[in-house]
Amino acid sequence: MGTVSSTLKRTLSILLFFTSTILHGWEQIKGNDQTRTVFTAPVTACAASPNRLYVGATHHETLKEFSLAYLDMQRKSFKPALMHDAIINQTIQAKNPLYDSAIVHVAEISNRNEIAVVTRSCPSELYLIQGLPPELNPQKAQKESREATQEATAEDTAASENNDATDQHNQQKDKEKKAEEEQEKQKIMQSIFTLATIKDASGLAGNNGIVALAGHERHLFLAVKGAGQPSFGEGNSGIALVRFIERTREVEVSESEIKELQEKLKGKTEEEIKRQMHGMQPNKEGKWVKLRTDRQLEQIRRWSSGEQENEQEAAVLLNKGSAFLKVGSDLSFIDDAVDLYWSPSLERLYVSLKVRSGSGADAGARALAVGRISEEGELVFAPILADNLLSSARSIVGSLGQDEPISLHKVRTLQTTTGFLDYLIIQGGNGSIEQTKNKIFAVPALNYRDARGLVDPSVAHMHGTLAAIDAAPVDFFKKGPSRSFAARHFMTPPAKTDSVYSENDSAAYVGGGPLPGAVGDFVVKDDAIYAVVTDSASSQNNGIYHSQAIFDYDGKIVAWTEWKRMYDTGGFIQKIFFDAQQAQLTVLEGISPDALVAAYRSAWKKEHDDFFSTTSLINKLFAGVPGGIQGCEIYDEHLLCATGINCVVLAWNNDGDDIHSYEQGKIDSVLPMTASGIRLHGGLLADLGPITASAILTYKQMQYLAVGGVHGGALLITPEGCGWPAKGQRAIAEMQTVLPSGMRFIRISSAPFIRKMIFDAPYLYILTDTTFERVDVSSLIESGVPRWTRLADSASMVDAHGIFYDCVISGPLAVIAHSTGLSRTANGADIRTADEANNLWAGILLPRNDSPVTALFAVTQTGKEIDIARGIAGQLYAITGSLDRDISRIYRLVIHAVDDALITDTTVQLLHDFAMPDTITHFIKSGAHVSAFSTDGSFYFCAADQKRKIPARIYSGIKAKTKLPLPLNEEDGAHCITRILRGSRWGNSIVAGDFGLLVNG
Amino acid sequence: MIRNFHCIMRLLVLGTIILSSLPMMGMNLLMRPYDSLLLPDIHREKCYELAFWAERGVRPAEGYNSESQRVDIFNVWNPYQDALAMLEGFPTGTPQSLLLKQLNAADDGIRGTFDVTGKLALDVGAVVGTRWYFLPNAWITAFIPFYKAQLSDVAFQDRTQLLTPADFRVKNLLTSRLQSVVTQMGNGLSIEGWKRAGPGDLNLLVEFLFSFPQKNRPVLQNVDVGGRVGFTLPTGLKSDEDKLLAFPFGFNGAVGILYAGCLNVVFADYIRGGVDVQLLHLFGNTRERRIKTAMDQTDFLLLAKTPAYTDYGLMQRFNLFIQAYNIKGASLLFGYQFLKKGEDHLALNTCDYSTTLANTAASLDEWIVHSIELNLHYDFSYYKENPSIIPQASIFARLPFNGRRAVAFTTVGAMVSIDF
Repeated sequence: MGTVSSTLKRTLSILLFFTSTILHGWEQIKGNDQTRTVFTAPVTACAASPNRLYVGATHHETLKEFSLAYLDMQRKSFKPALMHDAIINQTIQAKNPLYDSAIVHVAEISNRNEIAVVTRSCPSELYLIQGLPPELNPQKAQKESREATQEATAEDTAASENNDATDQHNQQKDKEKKAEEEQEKQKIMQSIFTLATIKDASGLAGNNGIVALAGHERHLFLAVKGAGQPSFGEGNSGIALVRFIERTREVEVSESEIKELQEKLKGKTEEEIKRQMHGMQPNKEGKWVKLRTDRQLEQIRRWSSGEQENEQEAAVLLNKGSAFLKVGSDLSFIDDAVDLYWSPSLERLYVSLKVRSGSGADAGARALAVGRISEEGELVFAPILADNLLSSARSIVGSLGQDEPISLHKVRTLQTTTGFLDYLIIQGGNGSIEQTKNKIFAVPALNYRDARGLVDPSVAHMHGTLAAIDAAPVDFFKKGPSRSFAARHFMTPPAKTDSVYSENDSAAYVGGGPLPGAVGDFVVKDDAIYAVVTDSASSQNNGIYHSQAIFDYDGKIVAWTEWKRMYDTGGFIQKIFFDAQQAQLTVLEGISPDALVAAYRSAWKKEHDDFFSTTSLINKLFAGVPGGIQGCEIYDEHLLCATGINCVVLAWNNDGDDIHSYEQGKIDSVLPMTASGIRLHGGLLADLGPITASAILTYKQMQYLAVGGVHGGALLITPEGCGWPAKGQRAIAEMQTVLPSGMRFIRISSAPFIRKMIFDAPYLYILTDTTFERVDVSSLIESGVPRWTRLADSASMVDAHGIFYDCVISGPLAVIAHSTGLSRTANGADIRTADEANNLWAGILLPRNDSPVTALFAVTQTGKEIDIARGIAGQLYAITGSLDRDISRIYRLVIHAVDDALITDTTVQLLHDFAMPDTITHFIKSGAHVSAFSTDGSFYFCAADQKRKIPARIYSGIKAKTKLPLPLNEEDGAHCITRILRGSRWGNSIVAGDFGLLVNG
Repeated sequence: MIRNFHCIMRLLVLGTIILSSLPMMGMNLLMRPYDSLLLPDIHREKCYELAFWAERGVRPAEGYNSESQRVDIFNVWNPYQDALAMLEGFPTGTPQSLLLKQLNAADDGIRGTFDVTGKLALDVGAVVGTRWYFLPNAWITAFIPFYKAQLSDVAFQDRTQLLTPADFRVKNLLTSRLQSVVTQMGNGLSIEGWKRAGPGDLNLLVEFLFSFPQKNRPVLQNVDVGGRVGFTLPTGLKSDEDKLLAFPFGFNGAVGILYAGCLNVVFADYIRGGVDVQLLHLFGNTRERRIKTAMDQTDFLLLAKTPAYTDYGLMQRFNLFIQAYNIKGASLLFGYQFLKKGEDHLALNTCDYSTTLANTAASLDEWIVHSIELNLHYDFSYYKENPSIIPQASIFARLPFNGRRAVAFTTVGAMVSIDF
């Protein structure tokens, strides 16, 4: 039966691999089977560090040295982390106890090449693996080890047969030589240190197991059950603190080595002799020894009742009666599933629990404990929130009330890019385990570090606990003449219950609400959260979802963008792994939530039928066409409009395999059912030249396509004035059936050099090089005589040579980027009702900038640019730059929602990215002139057009220095990058330019 | 009578020394009358020599780029001229920077660039030279050249494609009205042709030559060892910074010091060969020059003009020749000339622009010309023993065949001289 099951799994895994290869077209990551590129047995993602990811076998005797495997950021295959033989506790042992074992917990020791491991078979034992490849070569080390053992055995036997006393001296020399060789071999062998029994809070050996593990470079934290207790939270369960100790031991130096050294050092200076002795020194007995330092583990001792004579190894008690968890009476329940997380930024341990408050009248509970290492070296817990600050109003981390369930599945920390404000990112909240799996919250945390990074001991117990949401953060500047910005922290603890976020606060709700399914894992990367939904009621919702923070002027998070799915396999994604510099996403996928069998990594490619079926069709249409794609927008999540010289392509995502071409700019026949798009060229389009702008207009449940270019604008409409049914009236796959025959382009504007068209119902706005105009869509469609209202012209807003570059529209507000900076709608004005440009505009000062603002990038809660001033707030990135200096600076602004209110001085504010006190500066500085910019909160893409012989390229990262490996060659042209878009259906990045489309996926 | 004549000639030579010039150039353009391959024979028994050269380009000048490929004269430094880059590097608020903002177009190497062609012709190059044999083996030489050259058929072919809005903007606002933009913003720069005529730099040399007859050798008949040292004085027409390729007829106002050595041998009575090495050090000078203000700018579209000191590179010239010598008074010379000028360096007298950027101009880089020279010469003293006047005449051709970052003329010319 077991064999059948194993075979079935194996077959499934192979099938899944090939299916995945066909579906994704991503770079496949190889597992233990180098030919089939998958793991031959189920593995589970165990731990991840910024540069490495670990997976462990879920069953014994399946994966041998790959029982624990790791994947480095840039590698294309997993590497085994285990060797068959290892040195256990400084003595050679034939068999590595971890080899071919099932692994349940892994923690990487930061800044060291060490891993702490707990196996399924020995759940109370802790193993510390010291030394991982690449510096170890398992095969070579094993071979050498075996050879050394064989030789030693043979020579020992030979030696025992030789009774000649005169040979004893030689034998001794040989043994010394062998010992030295063994020592050398030990250097390339894996060393494992074991801590056999982790004690519970009473000091008894907890033989029921370790339920969670976390670590950093100096300590390991283990959640252990109480001795004899079936579950965590009962009896003497607790958090064991294990520290690394370094013990120095003497290793005798052989006489031959001493003689050799003495010969070598004859006539040398004292300093030279000291240097070449390599720490050799005579010990008390007069023998020459070397000092060797071993790193070992030791559980921290605790003292019961403060009496030193009762000192014993013990965990810190954490159970239903722990004061830092309970309020009033003891908790009635703590779940076994515990998550431990050591925050490197705050240097605090966070223990996430699923608890239920007691039954007393004054009962309450906290599901999050904050631990710190005291000056005495002990682990000390503190309540995340004081009793008096808990309310019955669902305070996310705790609540008052009888039998109240609070379920926190995981906590991570986020440091914002706005000066390192600390937030706790919490999966879970008030409610049962199942109810809370799809919620993620962000709550501010106190950080009492000063400019030097030190925490005052008097407030150490509060460091890392919740901060008041209504207090302003404190800015720190470095001492010295430069007074440069150092950090920004929350330093005000909450004083009342209103000062703590509840589940009803949208600023705390990541994604603006719950995810469509249970979150299996989430990753915090800069200002973005990526959540993996693996267990939704509808498998269609499975996938990776993304949300990014929107900041207020002072750097606090005021809102989150709505969850957008950015990747879906239809399978169970276990873990995601980001390389934000290279814009690569690594996905570990399984046939079930706990059985990973495939892994793959995103790459930039020109053909990605799986993500947007028409991508390759569009690339074929634009291949070799001079100018390529000059405008690209995605509408209604599925409609992609790409424009070029005298042509427009409107494509939708279905299973079609054809983009139907129409001459004369007119749909003059019924679309075939296989069509997944249309290409219109000729006719009026031939007069428009390069077409760079497009907009979908909605009017009376119908939609219309407007396009604009160098020689004016046009509208796609039937002679009867009809468009196609608006979204909601049709399914996207039906586009080929609803596009009416007879649609053709009619001219709506003769304005030259149209840069942007924006539809914000009921108006269409057109920005040209020199004018900004508004038209009521009804006049366009019904009367055919558009009534344009000029809202701005560059000569009066800027200067005689001034031009407009970009604009953002939202309700009454418009922000225009032009050759001397930024302008916005003036206080009290409204672009929807204004009849003339007079008194309509006010300037926005961008400090330390004398360059034009060449582009704007909006981050909005809904993902639609026109919603930047709707909801709570939106983020606006203003890209400044001068072509001749070949640099760009990117500023951040916050736009508070206006809706129908009046615009004031606080509607548009610069985000306080301080350079010095009271001196705001840019957020990103690029060493190239940025023509297009995009960010999702962790990926920062700065595109630069071709500069002489340097082809168009994209730099990533906040420092905009890493050049993305775009697969472009000379034949592609690659002179300019028009847009960087986030595909609204799949969320993958799309780059459009004269080379066509590139998709990251 | 004879005494008076000698006095007159002395005055004439001295006057020539004061007034004449040795034709020199900032480029490898014109004949060099002190070119040892074209000089008349020496008659040390005489007191004076008066010579006249004239040459003319037989076809428009040819250019050699940095890869030593034969190109149009306007491509010797850059393959094309960049009007977009022309606007870069100017302070904010200047007309150039405002126009650049208005264009909002990245310089992709095609947009805003021009293929420039034109014809540079040497109408005439003429030199008057004198020698005064003041010692048996030494003499003073002075040369004064005169040149007339013209640049015509200058054409700027716009390479901008009309593919993107940026292309259209560049076309509308810049490349279709380049002449107007250059006139408005170029501090007097003109991109049209020109005609120029004027003197070259004064050249004054003291030369010596010692002969060592090889009496007992069957083949080698004679060895001549010589040298010269002198000055170039800045009397020539300077470069016109406001015109394209309006090269100086001398060294652009710089004073130079020249030193050279030669070794000539005569084989079997009628075969002569030799080598001549000449180095010229120019003293730097300051004048208004067009400079680069941005890295990508090209050398013929430079809008900024500012006082700048030029530290000139060393000029080297190597001549090799072999000659069928004095066959009934006639000689035929076949010579090779290597001419190289080292890299110049600019130091700006203003803080408005960057000296570092200014020094990235390709026109400041070293240049090289390789030429073949042919000289058919006749010495009329062959038929008369010890004549009081010795006339000489020659016709010559200068045929450049390779080079680097250089413009070179193919010329033919003639020389007449009298020694007395």
